[in-house]
Amino acid sequence: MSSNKIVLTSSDGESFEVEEVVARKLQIVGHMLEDDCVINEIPLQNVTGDILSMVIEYCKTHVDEEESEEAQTKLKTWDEEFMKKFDIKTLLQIILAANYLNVKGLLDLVSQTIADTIKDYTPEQIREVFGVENDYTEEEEAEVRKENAWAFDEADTPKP
Amino acid sequence: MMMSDLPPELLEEILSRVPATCLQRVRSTCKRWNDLFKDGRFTEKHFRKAEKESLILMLKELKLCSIGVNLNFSPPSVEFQGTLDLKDSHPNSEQVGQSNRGLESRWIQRKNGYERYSRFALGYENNKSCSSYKFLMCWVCYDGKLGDEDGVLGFEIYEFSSDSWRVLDDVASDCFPSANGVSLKGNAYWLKEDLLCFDFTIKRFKRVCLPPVPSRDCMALSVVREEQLSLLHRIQHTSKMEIYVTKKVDTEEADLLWSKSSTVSLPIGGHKGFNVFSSLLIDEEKKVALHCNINLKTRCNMLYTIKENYIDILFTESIHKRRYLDKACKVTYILCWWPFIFNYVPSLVQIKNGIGRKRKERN
Repeated sequence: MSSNKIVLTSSDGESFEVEEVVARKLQIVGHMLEDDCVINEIPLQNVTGDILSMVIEYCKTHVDEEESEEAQTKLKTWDEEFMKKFDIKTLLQIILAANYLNVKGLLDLVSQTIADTIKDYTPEQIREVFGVENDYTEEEEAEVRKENAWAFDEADTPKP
Repeated sequence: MMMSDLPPELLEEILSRVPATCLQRVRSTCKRWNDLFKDGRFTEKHFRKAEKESLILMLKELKLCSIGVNLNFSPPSVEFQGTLDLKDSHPNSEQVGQSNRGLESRWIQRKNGYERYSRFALGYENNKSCSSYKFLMCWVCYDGKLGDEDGVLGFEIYEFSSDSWRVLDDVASDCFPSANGVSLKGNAYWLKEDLLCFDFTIKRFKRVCLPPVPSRDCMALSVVREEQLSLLHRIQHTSKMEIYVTKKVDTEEADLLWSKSSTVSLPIGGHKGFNVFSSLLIDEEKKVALHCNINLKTRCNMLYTIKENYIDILFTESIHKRRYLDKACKVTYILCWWPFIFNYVPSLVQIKNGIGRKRKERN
């Protein structure tokens, strides 16, 4: 693999020098490099420095994705620990960045992490934590709960 | 940064990973989220991505209950959650039996009515979308008295999407299913001398292998996480019980690969009169299995867990005094039912005509 360095610049002007193999984990960068291989500085308009640094941290760790079970388990543990560092707001920013920069693995990881959080919340908690507005009338909400009654979901009891 | 700031594709990416067991809460959050779950494309995505969390359902009296077993306590505790009352359903209406937190159910008409001794199994064709559900009905009709060996057998398939029945010809009489069947990945399985399978894709019965157990009685079959079959086997005249599981079932493969998961010793004397009726492996790591059966001496249905050498009875219910009023005939009679537990994995996939998922019926 080439050991070329690429400079990635965030929307707020922060620059990160990374190995080309790491930069290529961001598929948006990978495509740019394919189009013109002499680029060594890439501006990334839609992501701020603090979020970009986290995306890079993920890509550095995932740069050699070994097939062995041991390596996979280690990566999985790292992923879990990595996700624990962030609050919901940051996770939402990371998922936007992962989508824009086209980092499939990170997009999957953050989506699953947020889904796992939603899983344990009541509708009230979901609305509060994720800033979702309740646009149901009381009757409508009762109707939706009734319609989905087959799910055997304990809607009224928050899980610990 | 709020959830509502996310573009629709990212919201889908997240919500398609929330298991269907949390569906009610997710849909009650807001209209936008609820609308997503009505979209067929989204439900397909959800089927592929979301974790398949399973619930344990139990047939208790004539109700289906969701049961939660807490293994963190000793002895473990059990909680009965939602219920679907089956007997409140009326045979002439289409959409029936909606209770607080029950499954959606409906009655399916058959031109000549149903035979009294019928068995049912749910499945779908594996080469088609999994929403093309069908069920197999096997019936036996005795012209003379019950116990007459020469009952007439019949096999029919009902297809939900076309609401039609089709008679299955040329079925060998030894293919008549036993009482407790399970459905897995579109096919149905029953314990006979070996394992009988009905393949809904080719619409034929076939035989698949069982693990090498010394005797073929005292066995119970169950499904683990919609992926594997599990078999519980009590070795006759001993206190030993073995639990086997298959490799993840791949419908392409011709046979099943079994391996022994654990062996337990029942407490001394505890195995006497112990019949395996229906069982589920509920914790593979801790090797805990949940069982139910009927104690004919006390006429009680029992629900209990077996872990290593311990049996913990979680629940018993007396069955001999219960009476059931038949709405049509106004006849009161004692209804004897077998306790029954099974895994249920909710999914968003709708059976056509807006019918909810229907797992199994027992006669």
